[in-house]
Amino acid sequence: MKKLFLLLSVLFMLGVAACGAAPETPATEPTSLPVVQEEGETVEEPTEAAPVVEEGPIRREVLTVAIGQEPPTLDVYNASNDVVFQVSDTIYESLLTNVDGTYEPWLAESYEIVDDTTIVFKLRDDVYFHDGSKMTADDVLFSILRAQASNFTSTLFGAIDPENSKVVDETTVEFKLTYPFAPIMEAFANYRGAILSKAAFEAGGTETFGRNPVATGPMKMKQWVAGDRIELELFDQYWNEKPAFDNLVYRVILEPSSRTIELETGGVDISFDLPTADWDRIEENPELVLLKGNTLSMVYLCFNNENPLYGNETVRKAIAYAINVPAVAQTAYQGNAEAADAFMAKSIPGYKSGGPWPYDPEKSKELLKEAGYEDGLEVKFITFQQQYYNAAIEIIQSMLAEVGITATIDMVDVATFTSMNNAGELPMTVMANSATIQDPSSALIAWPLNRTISLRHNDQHIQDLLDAGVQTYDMEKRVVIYEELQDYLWEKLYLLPLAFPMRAYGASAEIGNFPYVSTGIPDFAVIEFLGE
Amino acid sequence: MLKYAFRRIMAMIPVLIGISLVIFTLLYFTPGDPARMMLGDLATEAEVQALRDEMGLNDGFAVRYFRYMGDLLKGDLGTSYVSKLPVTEEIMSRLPVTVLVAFLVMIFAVLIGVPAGIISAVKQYTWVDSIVRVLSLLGITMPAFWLALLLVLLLAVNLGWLPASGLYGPKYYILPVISISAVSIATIARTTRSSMLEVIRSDYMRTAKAKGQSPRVIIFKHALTNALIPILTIVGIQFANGLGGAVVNEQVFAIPGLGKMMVDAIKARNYPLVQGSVLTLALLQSMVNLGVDLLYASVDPRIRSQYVIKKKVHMKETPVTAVLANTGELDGGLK
Repeated sequence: MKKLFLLLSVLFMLGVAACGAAPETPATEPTSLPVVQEEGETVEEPTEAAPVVEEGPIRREVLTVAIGQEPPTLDVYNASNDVVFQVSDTIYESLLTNVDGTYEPWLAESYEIVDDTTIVFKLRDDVYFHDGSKMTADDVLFSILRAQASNFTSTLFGAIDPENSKVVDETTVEFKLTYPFAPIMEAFANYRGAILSKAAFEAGGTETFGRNPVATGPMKMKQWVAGDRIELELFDQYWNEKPAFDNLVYRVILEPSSRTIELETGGVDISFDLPTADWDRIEENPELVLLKGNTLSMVYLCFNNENPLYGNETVRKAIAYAINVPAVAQTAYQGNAEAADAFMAKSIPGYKSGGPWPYDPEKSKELLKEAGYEDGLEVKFITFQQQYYNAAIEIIQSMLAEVGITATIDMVDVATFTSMNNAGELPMTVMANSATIQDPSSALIAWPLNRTISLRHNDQHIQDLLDAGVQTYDMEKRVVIYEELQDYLWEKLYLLPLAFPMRAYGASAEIGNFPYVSTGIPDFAVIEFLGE
Repeated sequence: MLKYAFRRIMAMIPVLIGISLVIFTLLYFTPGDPARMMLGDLATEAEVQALRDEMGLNDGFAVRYFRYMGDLLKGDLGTSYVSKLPVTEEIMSRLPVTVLVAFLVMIFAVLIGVPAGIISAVKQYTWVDSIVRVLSLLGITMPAFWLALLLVLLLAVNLGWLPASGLYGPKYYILPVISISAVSIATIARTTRSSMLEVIRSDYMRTAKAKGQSPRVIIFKHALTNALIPILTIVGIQFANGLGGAVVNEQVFAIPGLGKMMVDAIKARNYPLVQGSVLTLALLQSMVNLGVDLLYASVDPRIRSQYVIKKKVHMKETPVTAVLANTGELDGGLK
């Protein structure tokens, strides 16, 4: 027994020693919003009648944000997850910025579209990287050529001609395109067209750079504690107006309800991807603000058009008429989605309302009879575990049963689903597309013929219209082309648009100038603090 | 004992090689393409194949396995497909947290479960016994996720006594340890109770009582020591399970542990990370099993004697030893 107690004591001491292996505690525990007064500000002594008046913008030491997953990397040309851009939004900057549809210079001082395949940027001369080196045309060319070569951004920058794009001088870079590509300007203005330090990337490689990116943004990397948090600090040499905080901490909180709890208890100031069940509670909380709105996503019922059954337009429309699209959108998303009336989100230029597809069970039965399925039809859904898609499929299953269509549902894991999707093995499913930039070509990214997902429409007319849509820079002409395309898509119904889902993130009521953005990548640099 | 421990450690090597082959084969034949998972549904087939070539995924099974084993023998567990970091670095960034939490859970569970089991056994059929048994049943049947969220809502949100998530100091460990240890406490308490009841009914316990020994001596010196073997087994199993990471609780409490990392790696078909994690866990669990076996020897002289090489003992001849030698009860010979 004595030996046993001795053993347990030794184990206990080892355990106490192992406490040293715990995650590093930050210098200060992540809390909300301690106040840092601007230098030179004075605070009037309070009298019985006069309230305290603080002059100038309020600065805070720390802004804490909850994210739903850890980014795999912060090398923006090596990933496509939204969380990568949510974290790196204040680290990187782009050549241009989109101000209400107009492309204004940002890191560029000016730009010129010389012709359909030539764009020249004149760069600012006062921009520095986080390592203190100056941004030059060489860095800009390097960054965009990385974008052109990257598998993650080739759809945005694939038109860049790597052989003929060149540095003209220290502050001038000329980009050549291999073909006219209208979305390129939006790509240059997007966070996916970020400028990074060539020297820093070449010195460290993608692995090191991905954990410690060197760019021009107002915040720079301070510390990355794997699985726990990413800390950014203010970049003193930032060329523009600095944010209202000195440190920006992203806490990785995987569980959605835990993110809500941390927001409510003040553990974080902003929380992304809040579960829909918590939206009402946050809206009712006077200390919090719920920022919600539409996304750039469209959820749809995808038919495998290479399958003899779903390749029959009459069968597709018979299935579609049996589905009450507004009811599916409302019910599956618990009131937090709109019925999809187009093939792209409303905020995308070129959006044209053509739906939602009408609900007509009697018409459905007529079409089934016309297609030779008067006695019933068996169809199959394959899906993976995703709350909203699963709910939508179950609702559709019950609607189809009312017109004599028996639907079975097979559930597989997400990796198997992805493989099957790209092997063209999914008969029917519900999934979503999301535009990566606010351009119609991005919203219609599922439609080019070289896509391997199970949609497989094999319709050259669609490809021709897509090609025409990107080859003219005149937005009015582009809108006409995309409207024609959308009319055609309604006519053929290769897929059935179901819903435009909403998204929400929450913030402390003390945070101002923080509007909802449909991309889900808000700009933290413009945040203001409203005081208590 | 040291030789035995060394032999056990050496025996782990073929076991780990076998595990590496099994897990490699399972992952190889599991549907799903890591390159496609990284690039997404809308990447072209050409882009996916280019990435597969870059990652060496288009090589055959044997080529990939022997390449992996070659690197493994050099101590290289490979590079994560997603983060591009060495797998060793990924694992070591999370393993200490998982080990620490598992250790704290084990200590807490033993400190609560063993005494509860002892009291329940000693006070069998009383209200104390009933309470312990009901609480044990609750602990085993209650979903860990549900308990974790209940504790967070009560103690963090409503009362504000404890933080809701993260691991930034000692008080952050309280809620995760309590919620994860519920099952362990219940299991240890039940095992302790049944083991103690079995021992308490033994003849030697009656003898000890008849000899007038105090209840404390009877319970702790005689009963508990003889009941320890099953308890140690259960504690070892619970600790080994804890090393695999309490995935659900890691998610609720935002603990950067191994469990959630492994689940995400499997979903993403991040083969090197899955393989490296499984091998690491297999090694740890083997070490835990060895530790439990050594503890058996420590508490039970009968087991300990099996590890001791028998020596010929030369003893002085006496009437007693002569009789014992004749009957074969005395090993060795007489001087």
